[in-house]
Amino acid sequence: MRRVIVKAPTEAHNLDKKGALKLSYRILILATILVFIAGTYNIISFISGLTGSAISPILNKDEATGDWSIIFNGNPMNKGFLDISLSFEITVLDVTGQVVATNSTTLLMRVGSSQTLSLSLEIPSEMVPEGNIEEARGLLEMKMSIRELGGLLGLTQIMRVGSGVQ
Amino acid sequence: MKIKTRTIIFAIFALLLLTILPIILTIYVPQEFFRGISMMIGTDLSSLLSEIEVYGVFVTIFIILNGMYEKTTRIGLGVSIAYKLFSLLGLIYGLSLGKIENLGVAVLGSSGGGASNVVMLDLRIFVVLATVITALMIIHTVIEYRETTLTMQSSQKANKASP
Repeated sequence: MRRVIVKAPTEAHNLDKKGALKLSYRILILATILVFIAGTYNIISFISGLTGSAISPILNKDEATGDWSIIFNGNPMNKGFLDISLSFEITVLDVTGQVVATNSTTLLMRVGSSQTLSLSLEIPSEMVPEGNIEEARGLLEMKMSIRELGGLLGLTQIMRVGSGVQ
Repeated sequence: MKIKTRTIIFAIFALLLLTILPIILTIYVPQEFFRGISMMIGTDLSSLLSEIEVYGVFVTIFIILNGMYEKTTRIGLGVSIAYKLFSLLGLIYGLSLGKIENLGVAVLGSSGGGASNVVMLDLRIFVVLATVITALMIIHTVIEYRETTLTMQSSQKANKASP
């Protein structure tokens, strides 16, 4: 017959459990502080790298159709020490807030790597009544999302420029 | 009931940092500066400082109470748990830049002249980690309390048994 030995909890066992619990939360506190410092520093490093390679728009008009295209080009570089996922979304809205054109891209940027970012938007001629896009009423929305540590930590920036839209 | 010197030092430090310093800032820093910063970040800095002042008073009270009562007493256990939960709330409040309902998403932004710029810092991972840490700390406190009460009870029984 098999004998089952059940050990009664002793004070030493309790102390071990208590000690392990104390150690685990102290390690977690330390890890949290380290992740906070490392994550924040990495995002700041990446943003400082972005300012050196500004994402600039180029406007083009197709003379035959009258359609406009906006091309955003950039060459961001990850100067940090953690991989970063960079999402970039551009949307053009009309005066009523309806989406005229939208495009987005996501880049996975390894440490020290540089990637080419290129986004283009096609705006139909009927959305530009005067034929001059710079005088057209509407709104340009740029959304940039920087994620790191597998998407656990991040920063999102939404910029809106334009007029005539509530 | 005796208050330890360490508790008094911590309480004074918390009061100075979280209550006295914000009061001094609101008195001596020009209001135009606060208005400018508030417009830039999209949060009323003056009201944020007022809330931090109140938080500082509560933290000081909790530090004193925590130092006054032994963790082995029922009141001490209650105060210790309440202090830990209050600290967690304070951390979430800080990470969310005064908007506790955002649960760790700090929103900074400004708008004007048909343009707006909003920056959202997603710090929810720290809220999760802080909640786990607080839970572990509370469990530790409860185990400590139970252990002490059990030891006390067994020693009382032993005392009664011996003539």
